[in-house]
Amino acid sequence: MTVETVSSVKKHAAGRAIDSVHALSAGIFAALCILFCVSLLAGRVWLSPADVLDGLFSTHAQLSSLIVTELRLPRAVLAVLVGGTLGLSGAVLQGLTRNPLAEPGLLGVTSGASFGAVIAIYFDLSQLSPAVIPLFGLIGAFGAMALTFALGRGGGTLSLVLAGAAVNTFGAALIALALNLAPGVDAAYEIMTWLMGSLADRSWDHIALAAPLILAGSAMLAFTGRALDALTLGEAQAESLGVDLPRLHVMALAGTAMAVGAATSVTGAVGFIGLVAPHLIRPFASYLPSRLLLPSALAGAVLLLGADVTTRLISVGPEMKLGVLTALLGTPFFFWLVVRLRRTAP
Amino acid sequence: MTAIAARQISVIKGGRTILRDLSLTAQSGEFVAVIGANGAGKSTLLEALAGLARPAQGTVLLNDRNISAYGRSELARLRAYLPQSPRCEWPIPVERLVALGLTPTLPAFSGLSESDEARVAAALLECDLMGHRDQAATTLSGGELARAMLARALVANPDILIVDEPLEGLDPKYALDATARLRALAGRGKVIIAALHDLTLAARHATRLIALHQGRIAADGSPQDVLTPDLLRRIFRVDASIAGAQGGAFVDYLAPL
Repeated sequence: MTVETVSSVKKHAAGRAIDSVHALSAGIFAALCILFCVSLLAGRVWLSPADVLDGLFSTHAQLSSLIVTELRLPRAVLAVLVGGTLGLSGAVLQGLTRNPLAEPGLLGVTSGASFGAVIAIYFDLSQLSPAVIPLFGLIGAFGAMALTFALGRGGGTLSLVLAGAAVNTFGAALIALALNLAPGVDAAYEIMTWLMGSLADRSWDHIALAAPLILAGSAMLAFTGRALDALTLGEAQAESLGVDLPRLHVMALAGTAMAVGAATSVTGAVGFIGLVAPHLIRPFASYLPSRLLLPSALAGAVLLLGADVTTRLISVGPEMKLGVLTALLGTPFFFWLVVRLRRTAP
Repeated sequence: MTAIAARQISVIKGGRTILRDLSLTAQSGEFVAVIGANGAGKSTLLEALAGLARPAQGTVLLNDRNISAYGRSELARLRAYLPQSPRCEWPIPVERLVALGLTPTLPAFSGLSESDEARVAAALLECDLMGHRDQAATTLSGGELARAMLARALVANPDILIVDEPLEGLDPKYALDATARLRALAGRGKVIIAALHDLTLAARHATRLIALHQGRIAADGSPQDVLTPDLLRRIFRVDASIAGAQGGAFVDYLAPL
């Protein structure tokens, strides 16, 4: 082999895929910035950019300043945090299970968080403080994580996923039980609407509670990239390449419990973002799990922020719940995924 | 000088004893072909030597140090292991698949350096995969995937290469290529341990044969010493004739017992 062949090959290899995934991340980030600005303007009351700037930087309290700093800004920040977390966690779990249908709720964390929050609503504890619902959600998320880990440890990825499925079913059953035993129609209605997921009326307090956990969990998830790449070759080869599978399971599970658990505790369960975002990115990242993580998180943030702006713009009676909209928009995507799999399957 | 040794190892899997009290030593320059019937314990022996299956008794020594005392990535840099019928789960390009062999040498986040890319390209060239460089690994034929996996195992230039049935699904040309490559690597001072089903190729190219039977070593030595009609009758339960010597050895199965 000549030196020229090697260097030409090298140039060829170092190129495209990496550039395209960087370019994609930059593009999605730009879209996110624009959408973020739009989300400050859009809503029941449309604000002009001047109003928004005035609201952000003026010191005297006005209606527009209140709308921007106390309603729309926290809502947009939360949408970015939660959407990013769901996209990242979906990408990690799809890489871990090597299954394109994996999503952040796979390991039982989402239903645990939902159940925790439902308990707080059921016993009407939110009168004490608005932080009670997310706190109970977090307790539920960590409880679910502990249960999944205790049931599924030491048996490879499959047993972890099965344990997650069992915890999920258990969580759903407990939520159904709470609805069943709800003391009145009002309590049942409040539980139902919370379960639909929403970013409405979330404050900076919610962000202060969830953001540290979301960021810590996401950092944990971000470190799994290299191991997920090796898992492309199956568990035996990944282990031979130095991947510590039990540690990877703990990172994926604990990272998801912290990040998605905190997100769900604040917003309720928002489906499909974590499933869809990695699929949109995967072909552009040459299907390598590690390259998927950042753009997938950004895409999750764009999708959730976009969905939230859309809920504000659709004016049919009461505001449409975020989780309802993502499910409505996500399902056709699911159909498309099935059709595409059917076409590419041998 | 590299040496890998099993000292009286027994391996139990799912309550069954797969290997019993087995000892062997392999060192630099050896191309050891492990042969044996289905279920004789070949794959388990290879896993134990790779440090992936932990013996219930006995120890595996790598360069005179217990293999379980090595750190995961330290071990991964010293030896490469390929399981039987390896699969690729995402449609990643072939060159990315080969680059995964460099995983233990890479930092947590940064991508491949220029010299890494050159190593990948060299491995692709060596395994005649340049034409498939950008192809999705999941669309490769069985034999092409086997070559890509071998390139993946060779790319990091390990001292010890442990491969389980690397010739499965290969055309005659590539089966000959692959065995010749393994032999050449042994000649350069590597330790090669491969489970092989093709006894003719094993007899011609391996420097040493280890025949496994029911979890024990039935015979161990040079191919012409090990391959006898009597041994094949005992471990494979077939009548066979063995003709030729060394480079022209030929094993022909005649009838089942």
